[in-house]
Parts: sequence; structure tokens; C-alpha cells
Amino acid sequence: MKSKEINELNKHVEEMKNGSTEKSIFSRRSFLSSVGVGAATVSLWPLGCAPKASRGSQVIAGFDDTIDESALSQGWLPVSDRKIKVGIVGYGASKFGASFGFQNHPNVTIEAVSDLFPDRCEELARVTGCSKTYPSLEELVKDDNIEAVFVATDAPSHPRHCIEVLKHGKHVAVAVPVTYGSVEEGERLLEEVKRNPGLKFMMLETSCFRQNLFEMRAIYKAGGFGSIVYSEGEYYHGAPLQVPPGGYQGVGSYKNWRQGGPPMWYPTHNTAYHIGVTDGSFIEVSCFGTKREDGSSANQYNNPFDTEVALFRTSEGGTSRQARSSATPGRASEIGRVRGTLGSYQDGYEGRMEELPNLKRPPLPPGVPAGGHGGSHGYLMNDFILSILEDRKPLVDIIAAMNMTIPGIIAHQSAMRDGELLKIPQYS
Amino acid sequence: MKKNKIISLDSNRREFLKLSGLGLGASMMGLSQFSCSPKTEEAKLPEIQGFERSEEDPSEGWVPFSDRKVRVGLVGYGVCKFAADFGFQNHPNVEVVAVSDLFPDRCAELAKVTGCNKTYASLAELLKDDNIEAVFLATDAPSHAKQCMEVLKHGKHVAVAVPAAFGSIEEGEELLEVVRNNKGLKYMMFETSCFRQDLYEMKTIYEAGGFGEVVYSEGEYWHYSAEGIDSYKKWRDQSPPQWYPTHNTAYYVGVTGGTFTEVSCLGRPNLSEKYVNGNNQYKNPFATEIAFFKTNNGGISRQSLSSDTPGHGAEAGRLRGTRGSYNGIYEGLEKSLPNLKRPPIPPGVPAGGHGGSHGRLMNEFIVSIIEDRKPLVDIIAALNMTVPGIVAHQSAMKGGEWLKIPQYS
Repeated sequence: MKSKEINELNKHVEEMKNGSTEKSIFSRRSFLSSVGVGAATVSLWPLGCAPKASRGSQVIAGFDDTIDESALSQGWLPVSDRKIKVGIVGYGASKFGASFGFQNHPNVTIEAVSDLFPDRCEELARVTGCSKTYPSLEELVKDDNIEAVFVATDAPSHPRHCIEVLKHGKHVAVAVPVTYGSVEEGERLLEEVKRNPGLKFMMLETSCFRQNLFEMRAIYKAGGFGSIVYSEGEYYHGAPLQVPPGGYQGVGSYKNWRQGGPPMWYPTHNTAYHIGVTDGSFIEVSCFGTKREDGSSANQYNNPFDTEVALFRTSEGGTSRQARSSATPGRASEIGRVRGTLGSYQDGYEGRMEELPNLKRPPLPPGVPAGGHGGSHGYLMNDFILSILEDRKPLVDIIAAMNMTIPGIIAHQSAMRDGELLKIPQYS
Repeated sequence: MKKNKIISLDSNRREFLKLSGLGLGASMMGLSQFSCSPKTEEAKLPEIQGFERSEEDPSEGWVPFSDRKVRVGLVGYGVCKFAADFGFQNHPNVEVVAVSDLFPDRCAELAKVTGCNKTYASLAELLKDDNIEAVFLATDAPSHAKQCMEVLKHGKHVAVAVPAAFGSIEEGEELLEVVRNNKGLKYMMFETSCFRQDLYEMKTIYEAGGFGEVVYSEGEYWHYSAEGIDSYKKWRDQSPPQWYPTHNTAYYVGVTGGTFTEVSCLGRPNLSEKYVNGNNQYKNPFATEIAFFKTNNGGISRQSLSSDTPGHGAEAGRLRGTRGSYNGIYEGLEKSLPNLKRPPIPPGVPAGGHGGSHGRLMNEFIVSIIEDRKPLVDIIAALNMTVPGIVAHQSAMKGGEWLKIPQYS
């Protein structure tokens, strides 16, 4: 959408706001403190990553939705002989260090790997066929051989780790979210990225290479939706319908960072269904949380909610509903849809564009698996590597990463203030 | 993955030509997506949103339970042709005594298709007929509340098309008073979503405890209409989307019997001439309104209406609860589900449009009179589905300010 049109829209919104001078007969909802005191923390059902099958037979969202791997490399042409020397850090609950296929890419050499736990570090070295290990990220980044690092560590460490990597002159790819609950840390990372224009930063948001989001983005860029009037994304990680013997124990995480986490601090799988489609942003939010069944907020985050649903105002004058729930048994999903002035996308496009653009995802090098999360892992890794080889912007750069992550942090603030409409910092 | 579908620019026009070819009148505007079901006895039905008919045999298991014939008057045979479309004339416990429409030609046709030979020139005339026990109002939405009050004041039961009130909370509340003052009379709003199979299943499972507490629900009425739909005195033109919210709000209120307590609604200004700066009869700039409701049980509900976004038309909803979720089917912890089949309707009564809901709504109204019990969508449910939308539009006009919603019980 043209910026002039956006300005028009925003102007209309403001005018309508200012124009309604009549006094509401209803009072504004008063601020309610929703921080209670309770006993035990509640274990989290959800898991945004794909643990190895050996971890148990629980069916976990995001794990089973891989795709047919054949013909993914059809049409692939090598762009370079260069081998980028990559370091991989983190082989915890999600085992992501190895599951994006860096070790399978023809333009990558795994130079070294690291995990704080020696046994995990050893296994990561083994599964990636790498012989050099470091006991920590801080040690690994000192290796001058390494050009790029994939940070698959605990979410709260992401910004700190990314900054560390960039400061050592290396490109960085990071698992989601870009920052966990801290706007400041995200902005510090943004500054560091801006200070290093020669280095690539990419957040590996899996939804961005799901087939449906990829199609929406392609159609949006080609004008098939016009302006997006409404979008929605959801990340439901329902409790399993068959509780395993001994009870569901939740998902392990480094220093238990997942335990009690505000749902909207992990929003990128769903916010990608607006930001990743349009490259726009969210400008305001009202978010509402529902309390845990035991009413407890006695956790490290003082977070009383296990479901949060947010309504965002978007930069193109539309609205976006973003939902996160880990407390509601039922269909798990990381999905979204859009409605625009010229067409809509639900499980396919319906609209006015008669000739759709090419909707096929770019080919993967032979031998690189598409991987989990809708076959997105391999594509994300490949895009990061190509962005280095071709010296171009990666699909999910720091601005997109911030615009997918920060609105969730503000949304949780809004939920803690019982839905108060809050402004969201803008990045560009 | 579903195949992509192109909606061509002239599809409105083609539907229009198809319809006028069927002799439905040249005054109708583009009907490419049109939520009501024009009566087309011998004609092939065009592909119209909300038009889909039920395929099952809806009378299976039906047992006659009374010889009584409720004497009914039908009013309103406009664009939607709803007066004849709910099957009153096919019900064994109904005698259609008289019909009415303000337009003589429509009135005559209504009489013909319902096999009734008595007509009145207006509702006011029809109400003087002491022979009539119950009236179905399929009139323009802005008249619903006032006309229902008139019917009740004449000592007759009343069923009415949606919504219960159009943009006026005061009229809705006046109606509530009149209903309360006439305890022997039934009031029912014919919200079609309430007898769609999916909503019926949700309600049944909810009542059996299969969802636990509903944490989040959503309903949507995606109804693209580039040219608009014709209407009596143009009441539909540029009307605030959330003033017609019941097809979607039913997906919470009709499931749980609960209410919305507060709303923040965001509108998206439509940039066409008819909407810019709210330059229309309703001073309404929005053709899409997305509302965010807090519910009486501490949950959340997203309710959406849009008429300016093409594609994927829907009157649908889903929910997530502490014990299970519904998204097309139930997925949850409850292993033994109750009977999810909708109650049977008499042989010869078509299930009708809007997901096979029309015949079932009509039957429910008639049975509620004969059995002297509460109808499925009574005045409380009707207001709880309708009034939150009115407040939602107020919120949208204030840039999404949180507003409290009047509670009815």
C-alpha cells in the first residue's frame, strides 16, 4: 500500500476519534491489578520446537508437519563455491542446533559447535560431523575462523548472545524470539546490528517459510490483497489429549526459562502472519489474558496468564488479532489468515488477482532437508547462507524480527493492565 | 491445500443478470454474496453465501405431539423473501391465516407462495385480526424492535428476523420491558447460526461440560458486498458492520448462554466515497469492524464483520476452553460426547437455508408456543447477541476505547 494511502487512513482514524465529542455514558475500565499470590508454578504444555522423537512419544505441535522432501531441490543452481564457516551453539530441549541443516548445506562448513552441557555439546558435534567444540558461546566467538554463528540457545539469552557474536565480527542467525520480554535488550541488539552494516542478522522465524505464509507474502507483494484490512495469527499449543502416565511434565528449558512465561513473549510464530506477509508493523495493542486455572501468578515472571489474545492496530490502518494459548486442549496450530481490499487468504487465495505470482518456495540445495515447522527449517537456513553469499538482506532481518517480537511484549503489558490500549515502539 | 479462487470484477454483475433472468426483479442490486435466501421455487438457486441447504433427512425420528394449529401471520417479503422461507406454511401445527407486505405485488406473491388467501396492507392492519395468535416479522431491521412491541401489545406471540434492534439500545430495552410485561407470550429471534450444525454441537458439548470454561471464542461474518444489497428505504446502505452482529456473536452467546461485558472495537475506514468521513445516513466510516470482547466468565471473544474484503465468505465461529476446543470438530478431554443431532422437524418442512437452520428455528418457535416453554433464542439471548455490537460500534468510533456493555438476564 502506498504511504500516501496509509497516511490518509490514519488521518481518517484520527479524525473520527477527535470528531466523536459526545461523552460516553460508559466509564473507562479502571486499572485492576491482576498480580496475585499463589503457590506452585504451572508446568507449560507447549513446546515451540521439535524435540527428537527419542524424547518421548508425546505428539507435540510443530513436530509432525514436515513435508514431502522429494523435488525440493528441483531447479536449484549453485551460486558460489564458497564455504561459509559456521559455528552452532545450543543443543537443548529443542535440539535446534542440528535441525536446520547447516551441516547439509554445500556452502557451509561447520567449524565448531558449543553447548554449556558437555554431553549435549558432544552429541551436537557428533550429529553435525564437526570435531571442534567449545564449552560456551563466549569461547566459540573468539575463534577467528568462524564467519557466522547460529544461536539456538535459551530465549532470554538471545539478544546478549547475538550482540556477542556481532561484536566479534560474525554474522548471526538466531532462533525466536529476538528478545524475551525485554524491549531494551532488543533495542540494544538493533543498535549493534546497525553498527555493523556488513554483518547479517537473521531471526529464523519458522512461519515465514511455511508454504501458506510464503504464498500470502508473494501475493501481497504482487498486489493481490490490496491493503490488508484484517489479519490474524494464532499459536495454540494445546495440552495433549492423552495425558501420559505420570502426568505431562511440560517442556524442559535451560534454567526453566519457559516456566510461567507470558504467552505473548513468544509471539513470532503468529505475528509473522501479519509482519512476515506485509513487512508492516503493529502500532497499538489491547490485549487480554485469561488466568491460569489455579489462579496462580507465583512464577519467575509474576505472570498470571496462560492464554493471551491481542488486538493490534496495524501500520496500514487495519486490525490484527493475535492469539496465544497453552491452556486449552484441542487443535494445535501455528497459522494465520489475511483479508484485504482485493482478496483474502484462508486455506488458499480468493480474490481479484487473476494471475497469481509464482508461489513455489525457492529450491533447496540437494541434500538439505526442509525440516520441521511446515518444512521451514532448511529454507530459513538456506536464506541466511544465501544472504551472506549474495550480500543481501535476509528474509527476516532485525527490523522484521523486532516488529514480530516487541508487540508481544507490549501486549503482555496491556494484558497486565486489563486491556489498556498501549502504543508500540516503531522500528525501521 | 485448497485451490486458489479468482473472484472476477464483474461477478456481481453476473449474479445480477442470473437473478434478473429468473424474474426476481430488476431493482435488486449485485447479490454476489448475499446472506439471505430469496424464494426461488422453481428456479435454480445461485451460489450465494449463506444459501447452502442441508442434505440430510431432517424429519428422521419426528413424532407428532399435538393436533393444535397455531394461527400465524407472516409479514415482510422484501429482498430476502424470508416470510415464506422459514416453512411456516409447511408445518403441520401451523395455519397461515394472513400475510402482509407494504408493497401490494410482494404481498400478493407472498400469499400465493404460502397458499394463504387473506392479505393485509400493513402490519398494523394484520394485528387487528383477532384470529391470529402469532406473527413472524421478516421486515426491515430498523423496524424490528418497534414492530415486535406492536405484536406483543396485541396479545400475539412474535418471531423476528435478526437483529433484535438496529443500532438502538433504547429500543431493545423497551422491547425487553414489553416482553416482560407479557409473560404468556413468546418472543423469539430467528438467529440462524443457532441452528447450524456446528453451533448446535458446540452448545450441546458446552452444556455437557466438554469445554470446561470457554477461554477464547471467535465469530465472524465475512460478507463481501461490493455493490451493497437492496433494502427497504436503503436501511442497509453503509450501516455500521457491528449493528448486524448476531450471525457471529451467536458463536459465543448462543453456545454458552453467557454475555459480553466490555468491548474494544477497531474499525477500518473504507476509502470509497460513500464512507469517507462518515458521509452517509449513519455517519459511519467503517465497512470492517473487529471487536474484542471480555466475557462474563473472564474469557475473551473476537467478533468480526467485514463487507469490503473479497473472498472466503463465512458465518462461522470456534472456541477454545479449559477442557477442549471446537474448530469444525470437537477436540478435547471429554471422551463420551452427548447426542449431537439436531432435533427432528416435521416431514414436509424443509430445513432451509443458512446451514439448514430456517425450518428448525420456525419449528422451535411453534413448539415453544404449544409446549409453553422458553424458545431457544429468547429476548435475553437476542439482546445479548445484538446490543454488544451496538456498543462495539461506539467503541470503534472512539478509536477502540474500552466500553461497558449493558447486561440482561
